[in-house]
Amino acid sequence: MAEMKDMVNKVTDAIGGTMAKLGAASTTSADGFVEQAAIGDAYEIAAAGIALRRSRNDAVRTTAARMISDHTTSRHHLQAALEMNETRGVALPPDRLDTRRETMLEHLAEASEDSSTGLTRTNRSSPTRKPPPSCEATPKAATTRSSARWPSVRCPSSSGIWPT
Amino acid sequence: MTFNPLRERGIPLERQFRNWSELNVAPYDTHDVHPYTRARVIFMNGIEVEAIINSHQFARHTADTGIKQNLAMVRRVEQQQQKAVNWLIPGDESTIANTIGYEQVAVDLTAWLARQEPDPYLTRVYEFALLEDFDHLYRYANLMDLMGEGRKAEDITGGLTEIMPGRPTLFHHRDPHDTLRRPITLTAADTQSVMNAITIVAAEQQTMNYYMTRGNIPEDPLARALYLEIAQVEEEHVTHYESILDPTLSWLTNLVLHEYNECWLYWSCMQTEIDNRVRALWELHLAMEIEHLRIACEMQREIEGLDPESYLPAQGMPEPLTFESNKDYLRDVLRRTVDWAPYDARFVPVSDLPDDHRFFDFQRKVNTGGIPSEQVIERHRAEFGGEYRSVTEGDHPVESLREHGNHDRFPYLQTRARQSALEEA
Repeated sequence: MAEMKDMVNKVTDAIGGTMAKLGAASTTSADGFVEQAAIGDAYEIAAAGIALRRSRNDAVRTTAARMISDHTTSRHHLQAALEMNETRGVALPPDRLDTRRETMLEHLAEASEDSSTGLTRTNRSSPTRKPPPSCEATPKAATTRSSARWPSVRCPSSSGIWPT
Repeated sequence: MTFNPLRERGIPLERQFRNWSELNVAPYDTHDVHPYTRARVIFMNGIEVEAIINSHQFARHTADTGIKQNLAMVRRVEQQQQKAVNWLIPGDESTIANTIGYEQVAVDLTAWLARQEPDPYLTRVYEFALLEDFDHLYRYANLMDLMGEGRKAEDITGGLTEIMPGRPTLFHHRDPHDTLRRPITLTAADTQSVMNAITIVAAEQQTMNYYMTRGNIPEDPLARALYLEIAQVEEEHVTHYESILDPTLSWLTNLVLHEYNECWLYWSCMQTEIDNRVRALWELHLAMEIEHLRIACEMQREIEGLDPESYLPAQGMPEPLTFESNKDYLRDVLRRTVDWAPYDARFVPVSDLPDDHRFFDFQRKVNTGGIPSEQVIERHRAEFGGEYRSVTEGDHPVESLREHGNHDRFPYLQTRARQSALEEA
């Protein structure tokens, strides 16, 4: 039964991921770009955070750390761009993820364990490993227009197991 | 007061070359020169150096012989202009005295740009680095005493720029990823923003190059150490500022903007110069630059089919760039931003950086084993019984940066203490 649920979630996520790419690619407005870019960064940071906390596989952890670093940089550049006159009038991004990404993160959190990739339950993680900094909090910037609202970066605690 | 160089007529290029004796100008008197005349000389030398480097880079990226020929002709004149300007600096002005002049340029130029900058993000970019150059002035002023210069830094600055700590230099050293900012675009940015950016890149680049080549002149190991430490910060500043430039410009657009910038700056110097002899030089060079701009515009029309008037302001530049005292503004920036730290392209209070942020790791790497910018103050206290400061407007606006303030309360130190406690735990 659990395997069936994992399978359904994976198919759903694959469709969701494709839709996200299509949505981003078809964006023609500044408002739409900002929304897609902000949500995309927030999702990638959160998803990588799950991997970083649950995996004992060095390759997975290295990739996850890089994802967090790169998407944090991307988010900061977008925030900086929104402080500039050039983007005056562009709508601020939503302050939370869209339903599709929320669901994808829930699926990741619920996913089953896979010993072949070293992904494991959160409570088996090494206690010496610290959570990634970017998952803990979004740094408060000097008071700016763009710091008012931003998709929160959350690293959902996972009691599930990584997809097989 | 506006100035549109596209509406002016310059000196034909073939009449711009000068002989050696014309270029070997009589230097100013280091004890008598107005601080802002010295500042303009240092500054415009940096502008000419950038013009030459930019022209060389363009020449290395084009196969068009016609363009190369035009670049070579104009560049030879720019080289002559650089000599005529830089040779105004006298041989009896020591490296450390000239360095005080360089830092006064950095402070009052950056402050003026920040005040005039129409873009709020770019204002933050200027204000952030302003406090770092402001601190460099204080460190070098203390070094100047230790080197036995025989005169105080305030004799160089004329009391027009206060000398006291800014954001302390030891905290300027950060991971290179955090020196990159968000770029402007020519199509959307105000022309003032474009001109400001080109100007500050040239000025900081000159300061970087100056410390790179002159920092090894002193014999005192501490002086050599301070120069190399601050030289590394100037590398950060060039990276910081060049990352706000529009990276999508064609080489010809970039050339036109550089020439336009030079016209605006020589006109600015001409408007504000009080030394008649130096003012005549600014006027002569302005007339030359107007022709350089015309040639660059003509190339763009012919080769790219693009009229520079389509992106240059029809009304010209509204205000001359002005070297003037910025004491109140500096104090306001100190109060508001002394605890800022960059996190990628953003500025956040240092206390908001994650505990394992790369900044702390980089600090550990370079600041282990003694920090010259701190040692110079410690040695000044030991030899003179206190620090050198030149303060005219009352106490330092940040209590923890006063000479007898509670230094442990400075936000960067508090964050470092918190981080050390976490590591021990």
